[in-house]
Amino acid sequence: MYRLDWLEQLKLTSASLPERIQVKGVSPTVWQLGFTSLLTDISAEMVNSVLPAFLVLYLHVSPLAYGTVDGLYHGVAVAFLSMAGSILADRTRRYREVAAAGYGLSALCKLGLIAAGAAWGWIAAITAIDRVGKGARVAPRDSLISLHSPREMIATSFAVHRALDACGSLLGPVTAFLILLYLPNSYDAVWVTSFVFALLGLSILFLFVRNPQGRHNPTEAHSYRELLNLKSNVPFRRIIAGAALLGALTVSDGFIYLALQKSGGVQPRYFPLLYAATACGYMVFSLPAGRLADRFGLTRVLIGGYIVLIAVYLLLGFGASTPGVVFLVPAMMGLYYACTEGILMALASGVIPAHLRTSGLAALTTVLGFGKLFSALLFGLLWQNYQERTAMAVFAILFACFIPLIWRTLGRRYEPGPAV
Amino acid sequence: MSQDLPSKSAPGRVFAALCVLSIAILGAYYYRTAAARHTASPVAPVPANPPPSTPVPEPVASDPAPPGSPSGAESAPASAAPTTATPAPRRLFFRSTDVDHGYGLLAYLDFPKLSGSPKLSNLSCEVVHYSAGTGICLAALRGVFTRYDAIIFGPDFVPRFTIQLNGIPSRTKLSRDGNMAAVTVFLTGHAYDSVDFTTETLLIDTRTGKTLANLEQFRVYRDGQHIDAKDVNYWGVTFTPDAKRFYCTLSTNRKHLLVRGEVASRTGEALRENVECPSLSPDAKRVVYKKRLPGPRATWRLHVLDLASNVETPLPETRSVDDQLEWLDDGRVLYSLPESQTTPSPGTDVWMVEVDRATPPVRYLQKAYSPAVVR
Repeated sequence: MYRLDWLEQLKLTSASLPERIQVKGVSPTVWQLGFTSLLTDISAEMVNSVLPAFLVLYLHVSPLAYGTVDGLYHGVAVAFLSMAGSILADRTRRYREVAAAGYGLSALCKLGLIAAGAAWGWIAAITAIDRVGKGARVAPRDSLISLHSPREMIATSFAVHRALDACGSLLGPVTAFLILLYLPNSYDAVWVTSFVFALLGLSILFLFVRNPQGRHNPTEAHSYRELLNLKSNVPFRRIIAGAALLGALTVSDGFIYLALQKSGGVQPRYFPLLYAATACGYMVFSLPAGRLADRFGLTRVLIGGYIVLIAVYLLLGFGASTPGVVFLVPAMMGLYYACTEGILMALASGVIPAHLRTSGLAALTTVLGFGKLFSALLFGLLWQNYQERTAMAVFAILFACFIPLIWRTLGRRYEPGPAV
Repeated sequence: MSQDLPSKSAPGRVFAALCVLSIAILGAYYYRTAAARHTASPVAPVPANPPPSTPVPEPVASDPAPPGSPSGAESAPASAAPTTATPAPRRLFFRSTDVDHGYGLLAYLDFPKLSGSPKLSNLSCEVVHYSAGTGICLAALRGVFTRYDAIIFGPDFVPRFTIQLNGIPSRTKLSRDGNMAAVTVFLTGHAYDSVDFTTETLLIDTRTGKTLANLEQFRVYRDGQHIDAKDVNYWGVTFTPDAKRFYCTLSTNRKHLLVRGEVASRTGEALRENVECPSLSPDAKRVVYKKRLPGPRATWRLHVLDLASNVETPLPETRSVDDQLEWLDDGRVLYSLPESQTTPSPGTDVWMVEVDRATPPVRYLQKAYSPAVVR
């Protein structure tokens, strides 16, 4: 027993530590989930950042040949599994366990990388499974965040989590670099370290995070019929419709950086820096945006974030030669993420009944994802037939036209904000 | 409720204990790996079949010594050959993949013996090529964001020009006169969390260090029709002896086309389907390349195409080779394969196969990658 003393100690410190943070109203669970995500993101990003070089320079394979796993098929599989997982989480009220399964699957994938060795067919399969794990854990995790947050602090809670998450994605490549600096070519050391980080993240989730307790009202029990009836929940229906619209009007990061490359003269070799700068912006702006949202209204900040995105489109469409655009765009993208990603989940959490929270959030994410797929097709088509600047301009104008509609759809009426 | 102490339940403790245990085990494994890397010797297990460990090449089976015998015909020694014959190989440049001896460095051995310890340069390269007193070395400058450079150097291995590359080096070839280089890199990062690749292929003037063209600027025709698509990827360039034209792969709409391009007019013509990484023979009569087999798994077989008759013949190599080949002479080709087909290892070997005879491939040079034959 005495061997586990340190663990008790750790539990005590962690229980007393958030007392101070509690003052700000953010639940310790949110912090714990934040650190789970931070560690998991370090684990994921350290692999992502070295995988291309590993494939090309170490295994000497031509990675162009392996686009077969990707695409719609995989997207549908991920969406289906995450929906199934979410329903399970809602029915059993074991959010933590379902999220842990997702985190665990990704951790196992890191072990899989060690086992796959040089068989890059397996490596491709493992990266695909990794994304299934990612899909499965998002909704139960967000559900836990929302269930552990008071209504008037919900955006701040999501912001804290997202800031920690972004921090992890910044630390990941640095970790991988340090390993390869001291152990050149030891990619297996990177995979092992990545697995250890994933395991640490998982252990924080498992040892500290609790499922929300009590008040299990049998009349509130999750049923499929009720889930289907969610669509008669007017506020939720509006948010889903809004999300579909938002997804369909959002140009993916890849296209944005590609457009920046074509018009702003950024060489593709700086792409990783652009992503890092965006993550940095996301981390920095997340908390202020969350606090603003709790204070002045979620929808306002959300719409504000999309207006920033429209500004990015306009900048790329019309003013790509502006000096400093290279720094401005990633910063604006970071701000846009800070104002929209977590906030939308917070907004939806306010209107989905607690016992359907996970399924509702998963449905929202799925709709958003398919919206983005549609936008990618549309943007690709425009890009193919016209210039990328034209495509950007078209999206900016379309988006601007739809903003009032989205504003009306999401409305302020359904805000969980300062409760009545 | 959220402040509750985590329960002192058995599963929690068991899980914690398991975590600690596995971290300890993994730590030990990690340490062992690290130790193995540092005490260099046990790392590179020598395959049992070939002769002992020194990176001495084994010009086995057929002897590369008879200088420049166009071994397909086995007719004329180079000295007696007509002026059009390919000159004898003099030196073989390659990237050393020997963890004990200059790993990653540009190394070379002299024909005809190709024996002894390879001579090492001070250039660290991922891919190399060399022709007529000019060399190109695609190097990785490791960092949090790793940078990649193309270094043009002379016989003294002193860099003349350094060109920043946009992605991970894949292939490079110089023209015979050494004045023009082609470089293919893999670009990543078009999507955040998917490993999604495109290629970029540049033609570089090695006398000025300037980029002449990106192959995506070329107008390529197929059956007289201009291929007007945005999803184009070019890779694996090989120059004609006069460096006015080249062959390469153009991938578009899931098809891999053999393209013959003309440098001056910036145009190209698609000749054939399912050809990747072509390499033109020194006599400019044939092209060897990898041809993808049908099926979801990426497996390639080496083929040779006679340009005059347009007849394609498979080479007697049954393993999947993912490389752009290098001609040793007009009848034999060199290519790299990983030391082990199953475990990832930093080592690769250079193999040789005869184009016109059904003799099995032979291990030509151990612990080497990216061979470049200097004539």
